[in-house]
Amino acid sequence: MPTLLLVEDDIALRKQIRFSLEENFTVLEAENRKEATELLRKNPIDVVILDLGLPPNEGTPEEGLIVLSSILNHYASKVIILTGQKTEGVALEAIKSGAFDYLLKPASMEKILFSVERAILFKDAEKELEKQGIKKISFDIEVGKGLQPLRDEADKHVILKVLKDTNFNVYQSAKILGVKRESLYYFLKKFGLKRTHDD
Amino acid sequence: MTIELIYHFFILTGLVIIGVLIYLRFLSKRMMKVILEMIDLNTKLEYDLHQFLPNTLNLLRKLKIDDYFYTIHYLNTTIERSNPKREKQVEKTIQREDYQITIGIVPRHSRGEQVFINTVVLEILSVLIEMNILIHIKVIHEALYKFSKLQTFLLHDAKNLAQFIGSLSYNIHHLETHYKKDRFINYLKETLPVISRSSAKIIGLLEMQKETDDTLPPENTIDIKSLLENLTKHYKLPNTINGQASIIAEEYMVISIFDNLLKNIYDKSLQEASVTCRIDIDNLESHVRIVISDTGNFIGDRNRLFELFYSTKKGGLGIGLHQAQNIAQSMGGDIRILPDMPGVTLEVILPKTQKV
Repeated sequence: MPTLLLVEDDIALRKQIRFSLEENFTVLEAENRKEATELLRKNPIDVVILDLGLPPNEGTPEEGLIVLSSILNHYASKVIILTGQKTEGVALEAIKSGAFDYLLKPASMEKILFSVERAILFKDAEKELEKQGIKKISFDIEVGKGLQPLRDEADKHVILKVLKDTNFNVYQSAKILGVKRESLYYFLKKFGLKRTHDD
Repeated sequence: MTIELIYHFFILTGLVIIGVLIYLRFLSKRMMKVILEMIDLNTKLEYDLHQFLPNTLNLLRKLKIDDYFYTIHYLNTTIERSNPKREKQVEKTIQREDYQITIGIVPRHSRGEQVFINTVVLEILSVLIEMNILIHIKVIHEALYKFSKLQTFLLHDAKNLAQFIGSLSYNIHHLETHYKKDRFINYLKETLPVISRSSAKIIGLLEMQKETDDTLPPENTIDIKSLLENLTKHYKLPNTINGQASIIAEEYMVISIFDNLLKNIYDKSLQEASVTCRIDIDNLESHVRIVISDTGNFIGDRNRLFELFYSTKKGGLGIGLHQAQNIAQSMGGDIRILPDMPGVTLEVILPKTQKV
């Protein structure tokens, strides 16, 4: 059964959404960033339903966007935003960061379920492709500035992904990428790639 | 003879200088008096340009200024008094991003000391106008900012409520088995106290500025310790609660007070590690005294803690503590910060029964 994490500070609402989902999914609950981070660290989670207005700043999307960025940087979970934060800027930022879907409250349960099912479908398809050695890497690029920035960004993301997968083991990463260790060190320096505390 | 002439000359010059000084003193006194009257008028009219400008002419005439004109644009508003286009008029224009001011005066003449008076009056007038506009813009911006904060807060809760009702209705239509029904009822049981607290909070907010109907005494006996235990449990706050007391009051009011106070500690606990809270309940003769403290840090101005819309949190509404104090006072009690205590230690005083 796929595992789903529900990040929502309103317990009454959280329980109702959980009720609709738990027949088909293993549902975990978090009511703030701290709890969400803890659960993500301890459990392999397929889909996250994320409210952006989380305490202590329920009136702004700040906390939710931090959780979103943390998930997308460190985990392979698909993120469905379910929020009342209706500003174009927030939606744009969430989608640009890589959110799978953006649903505005109040959204019908059918819509939420449909979105979760699609996210699971995408997740399964990606798992299947990974088995075949194909990995999906996405990044944003400004078109019209030539091909070099595009190549650099692609190099950077591929290297970063492999480094994360190998827990920053340069020897293994170089082997997977098919380059010499010296070349990998050159790229690490060029792109300023360092192991962060979260990694 | 020559020395006598020189003496006379000095005496005469001295007299002329004294005369001029006395005249200048008279002029400046008159000018200062009119300027102070203008400032006073502006204050009395509450810095309202629409009222201030049409009432200035009588004062200006005391300084030999026969007429004046202006064109002011700010916040989609235009105030205008037509330009008489006379020869002697003096004018000044101020161009800023948010407003444009053109102000002119028509003096009786522009000779001698009047030139000085004209310049000073024009400067003072333009400063007063600019100040009024800036006050107006600031007041409007602040009101809009506070309104949007309040709207965000209410919308957040309203949207959650709408989502809750939508999900609830969906779930009710999908209760096919007994097992599902039992589970559904268990979830509802678990969340009903929270829903009740949330509605108490919203009612408290909506009633905040409303005159209370004090003809009916409240009838609920509230066990303060158990209410605080439930709230600390809800916010998962490690705590120590000492003492016990109960009061007769409207439940939503008491919930609203303590929910606001403990929510602040909860918010702190999300940003700082191992925040704990301590609550001491004293059962006094006619009142109950509750002292709430926590181990978290406080960064902000303690004197402004109860100020409406003052918040130390980014994006915070700044309404909780104000609301809590407001409710406590309306019940005949109060909330204050205890001096000489570490961090923020709040003392809540509530009467055991409310007077009718």
